[in-house]
Amino acid sequence: MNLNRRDFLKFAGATTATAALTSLPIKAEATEHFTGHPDRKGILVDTSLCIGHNCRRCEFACAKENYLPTPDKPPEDASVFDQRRRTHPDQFTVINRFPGRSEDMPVYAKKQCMHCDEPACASACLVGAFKKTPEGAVTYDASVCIGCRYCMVACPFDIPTYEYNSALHPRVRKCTFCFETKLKEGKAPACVEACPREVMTFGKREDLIKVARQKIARNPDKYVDHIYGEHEVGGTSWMYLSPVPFDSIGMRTDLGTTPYPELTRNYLSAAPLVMAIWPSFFLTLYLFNKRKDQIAAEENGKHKEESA
Amino acid sequence: MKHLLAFTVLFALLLIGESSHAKSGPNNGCAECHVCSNPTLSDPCLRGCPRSRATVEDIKLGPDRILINEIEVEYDAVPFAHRLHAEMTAMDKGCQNCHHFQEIGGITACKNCHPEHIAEENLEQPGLKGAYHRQCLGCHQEWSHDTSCEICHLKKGSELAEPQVKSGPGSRFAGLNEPVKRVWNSTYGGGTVVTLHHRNHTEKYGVECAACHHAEGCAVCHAKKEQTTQVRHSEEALHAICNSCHAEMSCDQCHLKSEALEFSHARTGWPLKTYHERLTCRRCHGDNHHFTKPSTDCASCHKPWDTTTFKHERTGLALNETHLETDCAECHVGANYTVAPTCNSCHDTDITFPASLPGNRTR
Ligand code: HEM
Ligand code: HEM
Ligand code: SF4
Ligand code: SF4
Ligand code: SF4
Repeated sequence: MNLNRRDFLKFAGATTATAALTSLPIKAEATEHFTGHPDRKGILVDTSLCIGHNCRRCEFACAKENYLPTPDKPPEDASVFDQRRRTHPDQFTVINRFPGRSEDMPVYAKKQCMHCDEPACASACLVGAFKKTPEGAVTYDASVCIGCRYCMVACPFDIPTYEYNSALHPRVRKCTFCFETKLKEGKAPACVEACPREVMTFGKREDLIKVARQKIARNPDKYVDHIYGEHEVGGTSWMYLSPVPFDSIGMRTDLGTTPYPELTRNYLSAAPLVMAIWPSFFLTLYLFNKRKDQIAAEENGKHKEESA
Repeated sequence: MKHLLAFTVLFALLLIGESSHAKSGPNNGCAECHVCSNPTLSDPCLRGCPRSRATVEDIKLGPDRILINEIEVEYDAVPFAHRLHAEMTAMDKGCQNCHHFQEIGGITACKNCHPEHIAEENLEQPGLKGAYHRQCLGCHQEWSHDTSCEICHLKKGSELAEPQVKSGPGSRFAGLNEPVKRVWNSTYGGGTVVTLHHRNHTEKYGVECAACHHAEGCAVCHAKKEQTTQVRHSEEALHAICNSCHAEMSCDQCHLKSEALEFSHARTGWPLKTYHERLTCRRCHGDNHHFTKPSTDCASCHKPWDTTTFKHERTGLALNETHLETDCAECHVGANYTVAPTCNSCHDTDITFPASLPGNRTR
């Protein structure tokens, strides 16, 4: 069985639809759009400013703040950019290089958890290990996590990673928005503080959208006219500006603006009514995860971005 | 006092903004300048100022070198070659490349507006660290593609070195790709080839870069690859530049049938040799625009001299001690300085000029 995540979601969706048709009518789940805490914080990442090579101060600051191993390649080593990297249990944020407007001016884009307003990871989690806090962070509680890794399947940005190497208490790992050490007290995260060019602006999400609009209006030649994350998957706390189209800096542009949980919520609410399909649901997940483990085992050590 | 200030600001706005502010409003709405949604006379709630308000253009106002040490953490202070940067920006937007806002009467320090930490009320205004790094790296990334911190920052505890690049008129920055000549093909009915001997203009005719280059960004002149340093002016712009000196010339003097030959002084019937060849035209001909015919009498430039006070170094050869004592005529027979000196008044035939020198060359 060779499923990738999108196939899975399609498959899951189809099963739900079939279930809906063949069994009891499901009461249409009210799509109460979550408007979120009005003062929640966010980050605006202006990729046009990122230094990338010779810098990566954000990666190092994140490692220090979260007691992760220091990234093994020093800032001067340009070879880190040869491969597109993804987040990793030991590294919550990575800078990747993409072709820019000219050969001489590549674009560097920081990748970390987007801290979705309606996090797919949270709604996929059976035990509620993920929470969107009023401050804006999506936090994870390892003490309740049962290791099912549904979050990893659900996340549209490929963010959560799993400590496959830890035999005892493997955890799901991802960027925390520095919630415990910084955000809780209203302070900017470590990576933001460390950045020499203030690529990332920390503030109220609502203010950041205004700032982003102003920046685009003042420099229409410099930016693509889009704030990535303003509406994607129902809105994210981390938002991006870019001088080149977003799909060329490794950001998915096929996600739509419907919150992911809504897609899954219909399914989950239907589930209890159609116990008959539970086994196939679990079988799918089981096979999927087995396949993921296999890939992970194959790729262990090479933190390569897998093409979903 | 507050009223007075508000009044002054309003008055200034009325004066400068007659068209932009009063009639149509700024491009991006009131928020461009006002922080609150209802600015009033007593509380106009102006944000720090937008980038376009700077006027000082006198390089002499600026310091030579500045130690930027407001926010040292990882490194020592940054020794910033201020004058050099100010001179270079003459080819771009001038002082306001960096000093994008000034209060009347002087340069406003960056830190007066850019706080150490971004203010929540004004997220658009970068903090001091961001302001410096955006400003500096903006150009440095563009022209040298070198982003290593040590190009500006000193490692902790290291000696303050002399700046690598000297400033001053005619100074050239490392990595400058100046073309020797440019050739254009035009559609003009007469001749179709226009040639600019670029290097001659800068080195011989003494034309400053900024006389022709305006608003051009650093990478136009400083780039790793030569092909990227191709200034592309519009036809009108090119004519305006050339005409600023050559207005009196006819079209056919520039638009030729084939590439123009490089200027050679020999064609004037007066070939220049060694020392004179190195001079810029204006040393002998005065003003670039209106050449005067210099006198052919050496004394018109060279003050009367006598053999007792003459400093031989001026010729590019510093005499050694024994030869300093020697009478001029021993080597320059018959006081004819235009022919090679001879050594045989004192030496055997195995010693000749220039195989042996009576001192050291200084250039
Ligand atoms: C001809 C144009 C310029 C003039 C007349 C000028 C003048 C000045 C003056 C008077 C100061 C204050 C010095 C002091 O307080 O000790 C200053 C500071 C400074 N200038 Fe310029 N400047 C010019 C161009 C530039 C350019 C092109 C740059 C950037 C590449 C620049 C960057 C700075 C910086 C970073 C400071 C330190 C200010 C601070 O930290 O607050 N200046 N300049
Ligand atoms: C030489 C000193 C200064 C430097 C190096 C500097 C640098 C910068 C930079 C790099 C930006 C960001 C532009 C961008 O990313 O698009 C900026 C924005 C800004 N600066 Fe400065 N600045 C200086 C002095 C000042 C002063 C004196 C003021 C206030 C009177 C000021 C007020 C602002 C404001 C309001 C903005 C944001 C609005 C805008 O971009 O138009 N700056 N500055
Ligand atoms: S610290 Fe800032 S400039 Fe440096 S790599 Fe990270 S985001 Fe880019
Ligand atoms: S980016 Fe992924 S891990 Fe982060 S909040 Fe969104 S769904 Fe969850
Ligand atoms: S917010 Fe904190 S955890 Fe997330 S990338 Fe930045 S430093 Fe790392």
